[in-house]
Amino acid sequence: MIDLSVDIAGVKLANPLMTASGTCGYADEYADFVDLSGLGAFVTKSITPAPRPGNDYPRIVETRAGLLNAIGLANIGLEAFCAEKIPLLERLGVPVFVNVAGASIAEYVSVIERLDDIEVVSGVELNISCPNVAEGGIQFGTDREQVAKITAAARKACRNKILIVKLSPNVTDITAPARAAVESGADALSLVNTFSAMVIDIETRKPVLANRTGGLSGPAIRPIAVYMVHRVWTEVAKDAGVPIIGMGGLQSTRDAIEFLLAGATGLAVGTATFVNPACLTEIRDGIAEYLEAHNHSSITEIIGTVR
Amino acid sequence: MSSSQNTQSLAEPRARGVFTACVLSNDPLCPKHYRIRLGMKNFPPSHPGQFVNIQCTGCRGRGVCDHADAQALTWSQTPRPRHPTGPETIGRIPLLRRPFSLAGRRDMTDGTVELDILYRVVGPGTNWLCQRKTGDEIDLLGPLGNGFAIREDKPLAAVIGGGTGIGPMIYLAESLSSAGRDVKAFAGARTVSALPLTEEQKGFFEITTDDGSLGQAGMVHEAFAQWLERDRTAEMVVYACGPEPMMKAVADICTPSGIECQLAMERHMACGMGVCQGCAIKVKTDEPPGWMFKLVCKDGPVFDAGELVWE
Repeated sequence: MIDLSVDIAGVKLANPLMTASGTCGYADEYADFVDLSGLGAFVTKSITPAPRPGNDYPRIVETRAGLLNAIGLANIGLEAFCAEKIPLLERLGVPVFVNVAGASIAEYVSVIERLDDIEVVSGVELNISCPNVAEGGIQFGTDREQVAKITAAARKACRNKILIVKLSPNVTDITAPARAAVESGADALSLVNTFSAMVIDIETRKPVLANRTGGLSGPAIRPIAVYMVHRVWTEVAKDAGVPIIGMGGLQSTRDAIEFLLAGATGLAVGTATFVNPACLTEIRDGIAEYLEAHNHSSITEIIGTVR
Repeated sequence: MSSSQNTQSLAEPRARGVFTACVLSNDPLCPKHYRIRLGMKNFPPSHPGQFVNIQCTGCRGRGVCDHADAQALTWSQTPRPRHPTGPETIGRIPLLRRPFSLAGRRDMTDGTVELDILYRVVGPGTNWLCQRKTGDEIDLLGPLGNGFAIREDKPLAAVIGGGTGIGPMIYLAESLSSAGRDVKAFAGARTVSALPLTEEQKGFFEITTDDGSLGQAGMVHEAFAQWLERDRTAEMVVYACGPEPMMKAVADICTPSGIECQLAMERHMACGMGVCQGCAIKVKTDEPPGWMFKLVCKDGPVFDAGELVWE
């Protein structure tokens, strides 16, 4: 029996597989396609204090080996989330991490304070890396002083849950915001969010997305994500004892092993679930087979072991 | 969901999933369009207006495969489609599934199901699809979305399809006819060589072409308006699918007369399951600012014409 369980800052996960925020809704949408109770954890779409309609259409465009999106944090808002979605998440039977966003530090704090008393919520994932909104999001994630400030404020509000900070890759040196988050109290790091990008229609000479720019995900970004996970693991997280949730173009068992070797403890899948929601549990089973074939009894034996 | 009353399917939310289909035939209907017939061991109940998402790459196995299969990298021998304004396409392997409306369904006595899909080759996904041969397997997710609402209280249905939008109208017209309902069907295309109908189906539709190469010259909504003026006999419901300007024209004919009009809308979508939120469409609301976004994949693709905000 292969032990796939991992520990994310004290939250025990049966396996490392989780949904990437924003790509799996609030759990009910995928119920027909994948047994979500077989995940390590479920990560929700971003929640903001008030409902957000999101950006104008077009919101997505496929690129070579990638997907560019500018949804604009469309979500039902904190109160509707607590009333309608928390009961669904309670039935999942796996730890739930709620992704939190806002236009100001006060907004982030107000959402975290509300979630802090909800039992099914095991952790809060701080979205300081959304590239598709006018206020908040990425502006907090690309400046190391801002990262420190918002992480410290969230840490204070987040008394009963673990605090995960989701980093933006849109920086010159990924270790700078990672270090700022860890030093300001982050229990775990998620990386990476999408890369700011643009597609132009050469006939209309306008950007394809109504928001002009979007965030690039999918297999095109995976090697950069693996690199960033590895750098943060070796230079910041390993010594600090802070686990990394790796993501970015992860869509197969092979990719999952690559992230684990690079230093990720948790694994999140986003874009690939649009194509095959069941890939989450398929990858989980594939990891067990890989470990068995390579004579490992526990997944923890390979984390961060790239030579 | 204030105005969803008109767009609810008769059936309750139903089973859906990922299925393997076998290609029974895949033939051009005209230089621009193909009809693929898929055989399946089983498939959940479906309704006209619903769609399926096809994984237009040949790979199977754990997770999502990004290996090239040789065929995906070469264009077919059919005339290479011109797509100057589309995204980069040549040599590209589709990442996401591609949505296709169902254009017909036959339930066999042994429980197997045949599905028809009518499509136009426009990019790497449909280029891959048009190269599938009889016996090939296809990975299909569905059925997705909500179908057209059948109106038991309205004895007459007008069915209007434009271009590739004729597909779901074939399925709808067949369903309504086999249920013994009175159907008047219209199909329009730019020219006869872009009209995706079999010879047999052509007899069922009142045909218009922009250039007059078959049927009446002009736009399909004009033929519908003339018929409405002349022959409208009963309380009726109008169903349409096609290019958005065509559907708007149909809506503009129906709405002032108080005729119920259901439209199957199209948007780019990444998932088709209500998750990615990519396929947003504006619908009217009573509360400020007077509109909200719904999702074409989950709340649609069929919407009541009066509900839509045209842009």
